[in-house]
Amino acid sequence: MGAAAAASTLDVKATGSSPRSDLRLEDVYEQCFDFIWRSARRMGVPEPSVDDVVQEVFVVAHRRLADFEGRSSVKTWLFGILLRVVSDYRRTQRRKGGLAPLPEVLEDDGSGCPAAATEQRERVRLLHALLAELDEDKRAVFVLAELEQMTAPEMAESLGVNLNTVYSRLRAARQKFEAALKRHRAREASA
Amino acid sequence: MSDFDGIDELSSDARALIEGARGGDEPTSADRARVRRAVMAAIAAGAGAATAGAASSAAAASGTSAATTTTATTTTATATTATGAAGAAAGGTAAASGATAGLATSVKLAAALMVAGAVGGTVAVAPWEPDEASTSHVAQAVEARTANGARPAERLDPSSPAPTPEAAESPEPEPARLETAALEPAALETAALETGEPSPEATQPPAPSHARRAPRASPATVPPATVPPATASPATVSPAGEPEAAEPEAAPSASSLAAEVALLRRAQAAINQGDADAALRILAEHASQHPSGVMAAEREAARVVALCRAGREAEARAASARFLRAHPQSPLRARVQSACATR
Repeated sequence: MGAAAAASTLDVKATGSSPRSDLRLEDVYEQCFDFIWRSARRMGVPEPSVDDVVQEVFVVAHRRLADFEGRSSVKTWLFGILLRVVSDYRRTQRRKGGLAPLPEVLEDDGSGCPAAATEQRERVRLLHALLAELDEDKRAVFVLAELEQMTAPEMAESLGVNLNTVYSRLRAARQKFEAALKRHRAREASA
Repeated sequence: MSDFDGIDELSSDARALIEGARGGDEPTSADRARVRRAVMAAIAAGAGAATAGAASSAAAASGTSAATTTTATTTTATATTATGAAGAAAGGTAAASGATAGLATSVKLAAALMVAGAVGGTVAVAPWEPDEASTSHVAQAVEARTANGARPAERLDPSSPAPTPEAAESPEPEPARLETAALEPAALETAALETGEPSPEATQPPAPSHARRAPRASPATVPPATVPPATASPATVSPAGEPEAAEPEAAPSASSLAAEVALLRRAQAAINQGDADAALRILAEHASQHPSGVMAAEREAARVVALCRAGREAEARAASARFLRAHPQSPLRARVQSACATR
């Protein structure tokens, strides 16, 4: 969007006649916070950094609300932002030395939690560990398809790739995920 | 999922794992509220806070949330009287938790505006509310925004860790957005502070008196009884149960916060006018009147800047080191570190 276009948008908004004036960060936050939070976790942002990453996503979104074109849903738009923030985050971590830690291994908290809750956390931990074996692109597709039930066109939009790419990434992601799960089961069995 | 069932369907083991783990990454309401504060603080403080990270800005925000709560309530009242019932009614429909959390932060946000100015020497700020909450019927706010919003926001965040081509293409963040916002009274308040901001002669700024007036205006939002802000506040902020907000013990009165803000604004004005010595005197006054005030960190940050401007670099360095030790997570950190360099 050029400067002139931006200026005219501003005028429209200021006179109160804009037809598409209802996108507020507040609403975006309300609608999408949970999605962005859990997606950050699933994209491998370690617990202590989730706050930072999610914050940054919404700060960027705030700056770019005007750019949001309404072609995609807010959700897919935000996910695109999340991916960039996560990738910047990883680059920073690498620069600081060492990769970002993988999703933290669940220590036995000995809190006597109900078995069901412990089991659930165990599953989440395993899911994260398996996701961590996928590369970034496949991981994103896998998360969106399998955990968010996003459609292929939505994903294509969100990731800025074409449909075929979405399908081929998903296929590859599923295979890798299965393979990683099998390895895990094998280790479990031998332990 | 049916969308993709054609391709190498997942095994039942994998499927079961995914289903079993699906709910495990959800945030808590405390997460939601904490990050919201951090986002607002980051937006308010611009580059410094955005790069300082959520933890620090959240800490900054929560550190004063008890105090801001108090004023936030009353701020609403004041602003409501100003904007009229229309705004209030529109705001009333918004989710209570969101709205109140937003309002609570807005005062801190206003304070952050001020500090950004004081410490940075410029107002590089794009607060949440002004962007969000402009409406055609809050003409004042719209004006303030069109006057101030665009450029400060443009400067918002050169060092943000997430630069994107799109952002580079259109740096103008389109400050005026129309809606019927819960936050709009706060926006008005913030806008008021913001407009007063860059003018160096604002030694008797409207904002503090605004805030001081606020307690008396509170019946506007709480019609029947004059609810003392101090008791009203814990309920107002985040019913979602944030631990920080539930601690009213440190909550100074609205007027003491207003007094702190007034002093710091005067100090800022003095810095802007090049009178660093006067600024230091005012900051000393703040230090003696509010040794552990809500804005103590901001005061120390401003002091570093003033010392630099006064040419007392050795003292500035010492004060800077003290600040960084005492507030390792502060969003003001970057500004303090570069204070003398950007003199």
